[in-house]
Amino acid sequence: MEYDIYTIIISSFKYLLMLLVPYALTSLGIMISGRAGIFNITAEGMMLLGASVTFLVTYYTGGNQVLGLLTCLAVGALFGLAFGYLTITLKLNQFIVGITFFILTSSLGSLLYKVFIGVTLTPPRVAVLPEINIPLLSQIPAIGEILFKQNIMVYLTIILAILFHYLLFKTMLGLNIRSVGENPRAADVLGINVFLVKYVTVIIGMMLMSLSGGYLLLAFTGTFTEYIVSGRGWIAIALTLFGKWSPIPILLGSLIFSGIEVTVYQLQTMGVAIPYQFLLMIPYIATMIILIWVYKRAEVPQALGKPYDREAIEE
Amino acid sequence: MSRISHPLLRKIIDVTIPYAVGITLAFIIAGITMYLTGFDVLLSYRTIFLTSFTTADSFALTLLKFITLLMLSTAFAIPLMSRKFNIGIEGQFLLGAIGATIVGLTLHLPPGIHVTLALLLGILLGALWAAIPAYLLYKFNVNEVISTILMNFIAFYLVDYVATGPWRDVVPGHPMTIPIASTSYLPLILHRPSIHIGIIISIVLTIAAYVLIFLTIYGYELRASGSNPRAANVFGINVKFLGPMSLILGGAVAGLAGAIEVTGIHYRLIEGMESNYAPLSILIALMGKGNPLAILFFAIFISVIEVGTSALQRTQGVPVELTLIVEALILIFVLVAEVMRRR
Amino acid sequence: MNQDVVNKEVPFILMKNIRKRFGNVIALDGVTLDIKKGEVLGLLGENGAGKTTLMNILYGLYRADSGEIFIYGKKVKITSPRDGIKHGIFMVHQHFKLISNFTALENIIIGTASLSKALKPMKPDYAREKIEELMKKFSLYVDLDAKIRDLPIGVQQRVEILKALFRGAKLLILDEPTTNLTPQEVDVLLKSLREMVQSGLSVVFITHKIHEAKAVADRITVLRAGKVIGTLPANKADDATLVRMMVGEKITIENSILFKGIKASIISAEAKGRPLLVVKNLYVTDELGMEVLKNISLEVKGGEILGIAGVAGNGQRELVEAIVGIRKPIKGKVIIKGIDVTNLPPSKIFSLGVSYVPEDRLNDGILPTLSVAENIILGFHKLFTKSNKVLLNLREIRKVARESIKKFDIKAPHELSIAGRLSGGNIQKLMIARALLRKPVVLIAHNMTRGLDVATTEFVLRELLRLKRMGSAILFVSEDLEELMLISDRISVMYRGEIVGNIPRERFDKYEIGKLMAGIRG
Repeated sequence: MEYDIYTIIISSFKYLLMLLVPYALTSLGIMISGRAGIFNITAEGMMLLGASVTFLVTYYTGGNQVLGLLTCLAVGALFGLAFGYLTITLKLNQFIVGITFFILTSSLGSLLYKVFIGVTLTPPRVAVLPEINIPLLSQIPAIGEILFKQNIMVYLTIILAILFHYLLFKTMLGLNIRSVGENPRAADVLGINVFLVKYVTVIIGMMLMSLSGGYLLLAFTGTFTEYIVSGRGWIAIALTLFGKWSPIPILLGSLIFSGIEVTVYQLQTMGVAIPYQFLLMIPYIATMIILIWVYKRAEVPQALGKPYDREAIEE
Repeated sequence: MSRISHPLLRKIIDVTIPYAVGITLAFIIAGITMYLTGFDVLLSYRTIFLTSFTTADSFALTLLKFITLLMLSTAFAIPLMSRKFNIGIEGQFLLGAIGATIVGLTLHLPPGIHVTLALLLGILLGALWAAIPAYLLYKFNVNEVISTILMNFIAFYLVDYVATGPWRDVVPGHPMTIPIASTSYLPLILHRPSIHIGIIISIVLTIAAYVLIFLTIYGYELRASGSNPRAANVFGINVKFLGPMSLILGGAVAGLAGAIEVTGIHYRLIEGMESNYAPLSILIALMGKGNPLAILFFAIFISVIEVGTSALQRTQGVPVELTLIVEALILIFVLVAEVMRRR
Repeated sequence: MNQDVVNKEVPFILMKNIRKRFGNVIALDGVTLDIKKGEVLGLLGENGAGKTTLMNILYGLYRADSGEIFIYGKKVKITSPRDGIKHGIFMVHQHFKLISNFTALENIIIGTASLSKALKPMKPDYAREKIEELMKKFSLYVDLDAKIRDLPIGVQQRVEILKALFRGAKLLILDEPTTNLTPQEVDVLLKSLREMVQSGLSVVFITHKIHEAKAVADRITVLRAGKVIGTLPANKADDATLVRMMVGEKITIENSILFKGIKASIISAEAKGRPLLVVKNLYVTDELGMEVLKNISLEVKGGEILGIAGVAGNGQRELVEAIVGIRKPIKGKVIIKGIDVTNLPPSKIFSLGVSYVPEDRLNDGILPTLSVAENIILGFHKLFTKSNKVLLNLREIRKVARESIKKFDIKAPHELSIAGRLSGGNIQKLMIARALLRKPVVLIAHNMTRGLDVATTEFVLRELLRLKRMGSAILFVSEDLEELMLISDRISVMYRGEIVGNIPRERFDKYEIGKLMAGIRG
């Protein structure tokens, strides 16, 4: 294979945008419920379960990707409801529920695959998401290939981020949602249905996490392994902090993380002198360094992580 | 229940009911799911609960798993008391294993000293692995949940590097090192079946953890900083320091567990040796709410089930993830039951 | 019926037979109360009488266990604040429900659009005109684009009231609204209320201060231990009757500090010797580098109570925290018993004999998941170890806890029961018990009696006088000027981080001190 710099650069940038999706989608999911005060750290497991479910449904329906993704959304909604019940109605500690749900969903994801597919010599595949050729624009040399010839989820993710930005900062609904995350008691006395806002955002958030997992499955190889998420769910939490719980900074920040992933991949294929294990450590080390930087710019919703009890005596 | 008037008895029943409810519900759900997917439910239950007690070997296996689970749960429990979630016990465990392997492969010492040094390096590396997130927490307020998990991933790759490097044992297909020197083996207290002194170490450690947490001034300050960091701070407790310190302590314990696993069971570093110990232990610690004595009890329970489900996977094909799912469900139902009881 | 006033017309609001319990505590025991259109109803009672609970039910924040609410004779169901607001009822709580990161404008408009309107883009001038009209009409001026956290408390209160007016409130409920105002600001508020009432609004004014109720209300309803004792027109109510209605026979009013004041002989006991607490030229900055304390100097001798007056947020908290060692000053000294403690940690300062009652009892005071006993020793815990200095002396801890529970009448099932389950008043008692575990050389108390009922307040004030007689130096920080004037030997007034005045007891004057509190210098 020719060592074509041009092709490498083009494909790198293309992957950059393709990989933006799992980070951004998951992070947006964490963000939206965080804005209503719920810190949901289930992501890593929910993504795995989403990937697993998407694979199984797509596989057994002979390649129906849409049905696969819809099912994974439904599963996300279900777990979102359960998560919401435990943290909003029963007011259990969000981290404890999050860790437990992480273990539950990732085990379930592995289990389902094992039960239905089991161990095989060559893992079964489903078709990968098709690219969309935007007419005219995709003919532009280089840029056309990168920006205008992606699968639909890339465009949908970017649109979603913009939509969230508009919703949260330019409408009263967004103001209401944010007030729940800042001071639920203040929102409550003004007649805002605090519980409803929390439930809806948690469910949407979990659905996005699940969808993100389904994307990971359908966008690259079409096969499922238990390593398909490999930490991106946790890194997405860091991304949410880094992006100050705001959609556009999250979207832009996800480019950094996908950029790191692409770079590591290219370094590996180029055969750099460093042992591959250390290359693979880079994304995690980089994330920790970024978290240090977050400290100085911390801007979290004030009531994040705190359960809301209307009848609680406050001083 | 109101018939029982003796306060202590009533308190005991009060505390245990949610657990009984939780365990029962979780197993009912597991049973129903197994039935629906075509497995023999009764046989499965029998395998899960009784396998540990059928042969001496299975009993020994249960005990060995118990040792690791107990120690890792304690490693999670100590920081938990100051409201810190040490999810990194997995990575710290592996670093402890690496440490013991290094000593076992590179040094030549008389038996007592060799194994002691192996354990010590394991403790040190485990503590070090926790010290990095602890420092980030102390200096930059970096959330320890994320940072310790990231350290886990780095640890996996480190293990892969060691297991596929110059020490690799090329005979087996799976990445692992060559065996460590026999002078670094952990002494056995029983030969047939083989049970090493890790059982004593872990029980002593559990008792020490209990004393530390509930009977010492350090434990008081730890629990105070977990209960209300602001109030604790106001009244002179160095909250900023205690949280990270408890993480390092947890790391040391997890590292010890890893070192024991290498010097007592595998006698080499094997990729994947962390198995599912970490999530199992996290759930055990949460179930026991960080109380080492409660954790001891749950660890016994879970190790029995874990041995049972492994057997079940071999005989019936039920995936071993079942243990984790059931355990997670138990914890959830217990938490729910406790809230319900208070209403 | 407990009505002393018979209304011939159908009242605006009638609450009938309201009952509410929290766990085992009966908060409201069959309360019936009416509110007329265009009147100010004073709801008078001591802390814990149930006034806030009753109004929370009317507003929809709480739900009554039984009872009915009628508006102009028609029965209504109010199950959430949404319902309350729909009926024109709005409540301003003692602790403002404002979002500190948002602007005043944003706080006023939150939640006021229907769902379809809420999705439309929101211009920055949304509703600005309407709000400015309201500001002019009722003299409630606010910088709409300032963030709440940058606004002084008096202005924040105006934002809260504007919230109500913007939503077309017909009934405005104010819960202890004068807590954080200077005497002058109180006058301005009462004037605004009169203007609102004249334009048809009804007001419920919740207070535990008799003279306030008499100053502002048309009628006064007195609540005690969850029951209505009676309702009288304000001009026909004399102090003695109201006091008796408020506290019943629990207190022998003749001996009461709160109602009869302190005998001059007790309070003017001479302060002896050199000062036990000295603060010299103290400067403290916050995380952003802004000066929050400027050149603070004060002295307290043994046997003396120095009162610190000021509206909340003028540096009192920072002063207290600097003295106790939680905050490090950038300049200046704190000297206790002659020892320079300026950079010592709190534990060392406590070990010198300093006791501390922090202001924010729930957040700064207790460890909710630990037992009552473990809470009482907080701050002194290092003293309760066995000889090896490592193991806790559990028996001693439990003994001390049992004694404290008895002495301060803390209502807890057992010294080992979990502290988080205690009621607010009992938590405060626990903190006072903790502070008085050993006779303190210096006592630093911040809002020590806030939220306590009359009997407990009496008890606490007597304890303070006892400590004073025994030679403790007491720094008494309070936002309740009347209490300060009651018990202090001297008062220093804080404004914007500086001490702007020192007044000896002979010259205590509410309005003069009030001027200083508002930053108006003599």
